[in-house]
Amino acid sequence: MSSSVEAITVLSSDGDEFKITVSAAKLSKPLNWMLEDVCFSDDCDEVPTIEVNSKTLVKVIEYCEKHAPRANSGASDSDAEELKKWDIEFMKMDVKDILFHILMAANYLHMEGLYDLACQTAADLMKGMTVSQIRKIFHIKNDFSSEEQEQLRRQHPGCSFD
Amino acid sequence: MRGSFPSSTLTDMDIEGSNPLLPQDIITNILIRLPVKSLFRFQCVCKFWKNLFKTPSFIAEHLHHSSHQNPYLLFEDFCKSDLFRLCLLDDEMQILEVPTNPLFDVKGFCLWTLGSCNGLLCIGFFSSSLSLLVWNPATREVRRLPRSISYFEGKESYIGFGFSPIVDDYKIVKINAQEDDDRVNEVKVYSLSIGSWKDVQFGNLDGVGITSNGFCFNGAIFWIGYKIDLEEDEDEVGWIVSFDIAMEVFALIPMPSSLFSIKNTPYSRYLTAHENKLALLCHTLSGDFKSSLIHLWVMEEGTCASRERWVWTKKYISSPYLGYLLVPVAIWRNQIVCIVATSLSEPIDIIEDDEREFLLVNLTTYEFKVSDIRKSVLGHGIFNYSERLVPVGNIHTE
Repeated sequence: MSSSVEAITVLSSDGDEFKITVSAAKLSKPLNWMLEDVCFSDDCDEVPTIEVNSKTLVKVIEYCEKHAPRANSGASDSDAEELKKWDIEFMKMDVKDILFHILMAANYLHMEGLYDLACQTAADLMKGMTVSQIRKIFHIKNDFSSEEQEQLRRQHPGCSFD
Repeated sequence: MRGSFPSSTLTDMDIEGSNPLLPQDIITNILIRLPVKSLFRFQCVCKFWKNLFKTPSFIAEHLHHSSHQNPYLLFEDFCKSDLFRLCLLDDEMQILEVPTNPLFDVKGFCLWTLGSCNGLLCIGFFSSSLSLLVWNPATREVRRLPRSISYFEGKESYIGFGFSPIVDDYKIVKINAQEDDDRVNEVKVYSLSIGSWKDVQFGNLDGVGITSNGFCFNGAIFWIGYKIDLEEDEDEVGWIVSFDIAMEVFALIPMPSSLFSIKNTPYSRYLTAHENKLALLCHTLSGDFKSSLIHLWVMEEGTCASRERWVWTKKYISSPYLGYLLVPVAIWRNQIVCIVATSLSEPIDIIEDDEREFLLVNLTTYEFKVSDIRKSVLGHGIFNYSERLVPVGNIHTE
């Protein structure tokens, strides 16, 4: 591996090219391994593909670039506070429609911080949803028989299957 | 402000079905972050989820995940009716009502909260004699304990309720004392996992009276006690009675001796936890007898009940607060919860209405904050409480 390289190029699953700085790539174990194994310098023609679509990868890289300075050097408490605020805003923006993709990407790229953040965001969003909305987003079928539903309603008056 | 359990809003998350299918381990990782009341609703999603929420590994992960969340302050609300109602105070000082249980809505019975541990509450229930319930308000499960068969039933009872991770069990300790002289004459212990009462040896409690219900901390239960027969030249020293939940043995811990002097008798001692240590709260009168001074002590080591050495450190003494007698009863989110007991001097504007019944002392800034809580009977039944999935046993409310 060449230590002079500052940014690497990767392909999204859609085939688009993305640049990511080396320090940001270090937030992901698989990317880090790639850095060690694959030659990323200009004279190397192989561009590794990340199994994440372009729309999601943009956000993942944005997260990495923001978190890289702190992850690599350690930072003060005020920086940590600021970063926390940034995370909240990051998750508020246009992420919701690709949240599950972000979750899959963070899981696949072993990015603990982003994974926890995305899990918590998903949990927070679920709190306000109805049971049928939950089934829809997770592609789950209601497999309770009508007798079982009746029994649960008896046990917990007010519980809803809709 | 009064609301129901925190209301959440419908979101604009994509619910039109274009989400990718998530692997189950990711879904589980999301679910362990949900509050119990959401999980309670979502058990109707599918059978797999309903069963998942009952697996010990899910409950343990959920417990682990929620352990660093801020607890609520739980207290009894005597305002609304003469029925037993509990309220919670959240991070933003909003009051939330705890959904009640039909079992409690029998008029003429006296109910009160005796202990709070891992989302379970131990509730006392007095009709002709004392009955005990273990209640998880979040999952709405309740379990009524069988009566302990006892010759001493109906005398003074001091209850302790707690959990020991060593034996992974919740236990209820009932210390029965003689009505006339406070002497302990019987100790019964109920194990939630075994489901029965048994007698426990209490020889080392000889000559010690108990004056509080138990506070559970770190696998042990602690009560405030005192020595009944003082020799003439003997100074009064308070004792803390501890019970190791796993080993089922009692020990006596002396209170900080410097607390006790003729001029400085501490009042109303309460046990609580501070910085992950057992802590003692009490108050003494200021020099002019017009206000109280709040004392906070922590036990530096030996929080496990079988240790012999106990080291107390004085953490904080308040300055007098505006001529008011404040009784510190608990620590909640790094604040001492104080009840405004009696005004010892002229009324002062800021607490003159009934709305303000308690104060919080911030243990970082040492600032006093008057709460906006309207008059509720605070004084007993004040606990830290967090919603947990912990089952009370196998009996559901019907």
